[in-house]
Amino acid sequence: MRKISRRRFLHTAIALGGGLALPRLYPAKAFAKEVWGANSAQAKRFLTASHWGMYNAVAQNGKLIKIEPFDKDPYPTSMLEGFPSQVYAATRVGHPAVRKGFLEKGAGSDRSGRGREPFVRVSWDHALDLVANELKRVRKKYGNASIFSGTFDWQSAGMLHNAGAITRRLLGMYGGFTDNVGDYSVGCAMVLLPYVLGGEEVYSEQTAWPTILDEAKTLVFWGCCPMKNCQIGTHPSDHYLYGAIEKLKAEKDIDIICVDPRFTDTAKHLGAKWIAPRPNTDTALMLGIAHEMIATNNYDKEFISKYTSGFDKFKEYVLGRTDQTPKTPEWASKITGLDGDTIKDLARRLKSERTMIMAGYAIQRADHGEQPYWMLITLASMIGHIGLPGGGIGFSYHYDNGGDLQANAPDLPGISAGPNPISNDMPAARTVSDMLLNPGKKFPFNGKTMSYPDIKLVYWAGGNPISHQQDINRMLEAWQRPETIIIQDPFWTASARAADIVLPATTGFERNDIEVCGTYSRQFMAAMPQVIKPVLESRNDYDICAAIAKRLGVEEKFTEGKKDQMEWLHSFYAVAERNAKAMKVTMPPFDEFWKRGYAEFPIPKSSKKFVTFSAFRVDPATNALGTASGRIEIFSESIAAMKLPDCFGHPTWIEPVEWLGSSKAARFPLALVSPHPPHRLHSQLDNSELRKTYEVAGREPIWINPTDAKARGIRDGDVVRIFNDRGQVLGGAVVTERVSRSVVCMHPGAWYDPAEPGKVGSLDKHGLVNMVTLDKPASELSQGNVANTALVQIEKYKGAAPPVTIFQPPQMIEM
Amino acid sequence: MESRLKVPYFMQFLAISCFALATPLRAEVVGNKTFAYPSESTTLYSSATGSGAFGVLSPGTSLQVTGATSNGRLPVKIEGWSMANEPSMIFLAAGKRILELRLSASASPSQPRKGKTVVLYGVTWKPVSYAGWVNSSATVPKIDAVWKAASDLYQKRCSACHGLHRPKEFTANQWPSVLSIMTHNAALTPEQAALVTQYLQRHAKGQ
Repeated sequence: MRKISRRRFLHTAIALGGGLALPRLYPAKAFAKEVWGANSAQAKRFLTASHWGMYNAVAQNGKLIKIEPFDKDPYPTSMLEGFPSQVYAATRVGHPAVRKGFLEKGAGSDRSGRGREPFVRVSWDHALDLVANELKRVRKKYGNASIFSGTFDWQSAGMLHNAGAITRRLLGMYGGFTDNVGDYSVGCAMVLLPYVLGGEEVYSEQTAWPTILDEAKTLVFWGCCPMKNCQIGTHPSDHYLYGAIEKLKAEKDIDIICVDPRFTDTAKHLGAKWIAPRPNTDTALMLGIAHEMIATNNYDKEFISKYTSGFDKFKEYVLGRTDQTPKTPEWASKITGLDGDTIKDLARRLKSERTMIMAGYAIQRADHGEQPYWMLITLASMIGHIGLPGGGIGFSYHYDNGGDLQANAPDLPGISAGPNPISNDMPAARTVSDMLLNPGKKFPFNGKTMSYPDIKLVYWAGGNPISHQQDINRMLEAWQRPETIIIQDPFWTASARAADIVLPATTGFERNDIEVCGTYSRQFMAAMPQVIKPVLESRNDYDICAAIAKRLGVEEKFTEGKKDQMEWLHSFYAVAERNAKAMKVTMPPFDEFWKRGYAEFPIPKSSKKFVTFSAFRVDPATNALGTASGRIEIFSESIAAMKLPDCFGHPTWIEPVEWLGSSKAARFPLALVSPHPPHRLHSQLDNSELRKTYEVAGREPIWINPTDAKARGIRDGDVVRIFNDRGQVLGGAVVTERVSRSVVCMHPGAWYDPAEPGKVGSLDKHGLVNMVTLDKPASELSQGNVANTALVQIEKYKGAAPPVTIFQPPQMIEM
Repeated sequence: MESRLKVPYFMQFLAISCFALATPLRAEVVGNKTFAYPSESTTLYSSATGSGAFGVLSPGTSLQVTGATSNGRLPVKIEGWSMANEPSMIFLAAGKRILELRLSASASPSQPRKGKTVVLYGVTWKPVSYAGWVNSSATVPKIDAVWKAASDLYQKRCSACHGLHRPKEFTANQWPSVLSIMTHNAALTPEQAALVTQYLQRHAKGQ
């Protein structure tokens, strides 16, 4: 296996004092020269793409040996370097495998053996027959609703081998299955924002960066680190953000403020002013600002009256007329830990000149996570810059390069899941624990009462729920409930290890596919040609599901009579060609596109001037928002009418279930935040050589403030134990001023490595932060997850730290 | 739901007797009225001939057929609601922005229709109607076929990236914004997006 460039990574490690890797902004040439050296003339290059962008995969003698940047990507991510070692990792699932107990006893097996028992290698036919027979058995005995597939599938990019769509397609055609709705990223926002702004906003194009560079005077990153997250995208990232950031850095007359318990990579790179409220108190901070604006008569009354609805009711609350508690800066100071003057200054600063607020998803991944988003929109309305160039508010600058410039490009479809006759969709974050544990339980969701189905079979492809779910110990208990668990994945993830049947899937390098590069720009269409043969016995997601479809009698419907992958890709491309023709856009014939590896589309000048909500601002009657009133709803009659205990008619400070101000902080005095990792995609790539560049003492890093570290005798580089009543996990201490006092920061996705496999409550030796996070709905409105609401304690790990063993495959036996 | 204008009995009789024989194939009879539905966004012409237009009708809008086909065009009437401060758009119901007809700048104003005005969130909604001509070939006699095509397209294109959002998940007002940000991912042409939007809005949740 190829060794990672030591020199380069050493450079990073020194810069960060052994801490977390920064997304690096190396121009393509420097990247290629520094990392890859000179001669690779014998090798064959394939231009391809995945969530990390477009790049060249280099193969020699049938092996993927390295990745080189695409010359049209000026800011390739260093994560690309992890791919070769990931593809050939020891944790690759080489062959179909069945848990020993399941192979012996089937659905009647001892399910506590999941994650503990060895696996038995079986033939593909045996594995596929088993899967088909289990689906038939469960459907016949319990009905289609007892089959669950909640796959989010970040595993694969590509319009065809989209494991989530393909498994849904298969199960939908077989009579349906219980699906989920929403996701773990924007659980609160997705439900709330349609009531407040009329649409979802979190996944939509943002006001273009050039207007910000031209017009903004104040730019606030509120729990938002675009430089970290834009390395990857839903569709391949075009890394537009990094060019914009460099221009922003050169702009001397834009004040940049970072509101965050971390001094983020973006804030550090830009030299931003850092304001660090206690985690989960953002709503209180903004209420203090709103009170100051009202008290000083310094807010945009015209905007409020023309474009919003219900401000008066909110104002009564802010002034304390409804609850005898005026939300003064002093009141906010006690909750947030910031001093009152900072809050007053912020009120003046935000209102004085053109202000853009960029919000990340983190603040709504918290208890009552609807409130900070609703309050930010209210605050932006009081500032009054929504719909103006370079001003207002945006919720996707950290995601998919929001603010990117939209090309004049035809749209490209992908394979569809199609209809699912079972329509009882479950809110995403409640499925893998709460639903499995509580069949029949009734619960409120977005104004309705729903009830959990009794799940007997789980089929999950291209995802790793025993990583992204909060409170893993609760989940491990829940995971023992279904009779059958099927996982389809290229790697021995924690979820695969705790499955009954494991189907080895190919990676993107082993199959043909097609993508759009730049979710919002759509500047490129990218070919994703097969670079190497499938590793060991792995098969393509599409082919696996087609083989199961055949056994279930729905093959013809599933394949639509198409004979292979390329026929599908041709059909997607043909739709794009039709779209291009209607738009009068030139597009190369498929063969030319495939040979060249990409098609590029022009960016019209008008894209630079794109401003969200501008049409609404110009004419709010004709271009009314999708809310009940057609305006921004600071008060929502619809939500108020639900009479919920934890989400009222207007943004409200509601104390989180646990936070630094609660009595629980006496036992667990540190607030834990777990934002998206900078050095991998969720749990993807943790099993690559990249791991060695960011781990501390062989564990997932955890940031801790020097004062907190000193009080516990913890030094930089120590192995520490992070724990609370929910679980315990080891990490590697990074002692840094970049996280505020009484706060620790650990990124999710480190592979779960239990000291006692299969045991609920085991110590995780390696660093999956979700061992200690909380599994609770954010509110009865959204049922969103609360990943950033958690209190923990930390201690220096005593004795010799146990070796990490999760990067070896599980035990395989012959039977 | 859509409230239809009560037409005096003698006029209904007159209308029926006048074009009973001429009732086009592309229309359906509901009670004593005859309806047709645009299968896609369709021009509302100002007369049976020529290119003079009043505006654009949304797919699926109920068009009450008021006479016999002439030159391949049907005389039709649309009933709906418009906002006092924005009369150029006619919606299906007060406060529910399911667009039936968008009038061009030069079009004559809509006719008031019997019924009370409604004030919602400070906006006055008036019952109105509008008459004009549509190309018969752009309409279908049954709305079900329009919604079936829209539903199939929606299920096919909007389930590629995530679990399908059911029509009842959002309100009629919310759906256009919710869908519009996803039309690129779903590779929907503007025409397809207009159709799917109408389908979702007309099958949305109440509040």
